[in-house]
Amino acid sequence: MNRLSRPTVLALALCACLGSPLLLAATPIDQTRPLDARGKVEIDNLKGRIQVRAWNRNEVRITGSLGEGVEKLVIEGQGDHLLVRAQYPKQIGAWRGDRTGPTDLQLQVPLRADLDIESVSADIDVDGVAPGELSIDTVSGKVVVAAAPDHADITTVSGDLQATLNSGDVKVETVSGDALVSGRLKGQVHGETVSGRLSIDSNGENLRRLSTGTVSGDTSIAVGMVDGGEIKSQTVSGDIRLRLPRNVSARVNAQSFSGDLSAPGATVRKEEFGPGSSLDQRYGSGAGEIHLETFSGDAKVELK
Amino acid sequence: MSDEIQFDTGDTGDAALRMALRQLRRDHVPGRDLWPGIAAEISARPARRSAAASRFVPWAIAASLLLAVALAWQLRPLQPRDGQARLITHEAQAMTREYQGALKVIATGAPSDAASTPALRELDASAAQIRGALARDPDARFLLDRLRHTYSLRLALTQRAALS
Repeated sequence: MNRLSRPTVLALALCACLGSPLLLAATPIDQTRPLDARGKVEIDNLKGRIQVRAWNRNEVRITGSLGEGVEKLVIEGQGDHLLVRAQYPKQIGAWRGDRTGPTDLQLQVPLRADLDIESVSADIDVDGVAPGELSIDTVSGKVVVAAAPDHADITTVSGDLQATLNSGDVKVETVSGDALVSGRLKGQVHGETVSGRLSIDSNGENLRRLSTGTVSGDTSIAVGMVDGGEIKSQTVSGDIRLRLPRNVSARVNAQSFSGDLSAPGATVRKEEFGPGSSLDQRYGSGAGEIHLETFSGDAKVELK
Repeated sequence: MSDEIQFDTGDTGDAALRMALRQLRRDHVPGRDLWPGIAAEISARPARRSAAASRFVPWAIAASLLLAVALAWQLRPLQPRDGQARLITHEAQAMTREYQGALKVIATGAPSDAASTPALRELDASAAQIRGALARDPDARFLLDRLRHTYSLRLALTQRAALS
């Protein structure tokens, strides 16, 4: 066997020193706790990933790996409440640099258990659950959800959100992240972004109330309305595109300071002096109310 | 000047002053009867005035109407639209002052570089954009809602930065 040269030995030793923390970083997790079928799970992970899946057991199973430098995985509670938190050193956070590694949390939860998920930069992936309450809050993490919650409240700052929800009560909010919400949406939906794109598609379902607001983000809405329903959409400089079913029954009122307005069959009125325009149009018996307001963005209504 | 009154400074000064004042009040009697001429002038003047007035009446009426319209415009009662615009403007100003005060307090606990994070810069730029839009379209109440929402987000994220 050939003897290794001295530089080679030093290089291997250096690699071992540098590599060992990375190897140690992937601390595996495998824990199971009991939880009521309609209990609540709180999940908190600063960075990395949070994945949640449903199963038919009154238990929560937590697998994955704990990131480098993470103090510990906190699991507290039982019965109707369970907290799962990757506890990072206190001196790091969303606004301070840190050298800790990402934590990968994978949970299997009772199908109907409520979920309250928080992260800073950790991506969040929730699929197949049907909780009463689904709450997600992240700063820059990307959120992908396919669920059937009674109520959903999802907030990001810069993270993009893609949610497929069968739900009667949805609220989504971002700053610069795009928020794309689709699914069998009934009841009420509220969406807000600052500069992010906002898209809401009810897959042909009729909503009772929809309200949206952006500053510069574009808004795309494709929904039906129940009789007496209300749609209200506001933007400063973004564009609004509202697609309604051809048999919709609603009165549309749209106003803009300098944007272009259009709706099938509608005549746009221009202010006699200075900027500003508006339109009023009735479709069917005019049972619902639709209000669109922009400052410089365009607003367009389409019947499909 | 011939009309200048000279005052003596001797013992006879008071008497001289009285004489001078008396001269000031002295009436000058005209050398002839002026009334027939004045009466003739008065009787002749109305005819000339009516002729001149007939030429200026349409202009005077037009000017009066213009003045009345201008005054009515200036003194018109406030329309609801104007009142609303003023209210929204005041509300936006008050809200901005309160926001700036709150931000000052909250930001003291946040990292010094927190304000430079993309999300907070985005919110600052958006708030400025909304304020600019409100200045151009002060009737737009929904802009006030947007501003309120943007300020709330900015404060919430700054607070989060302070607590992290």
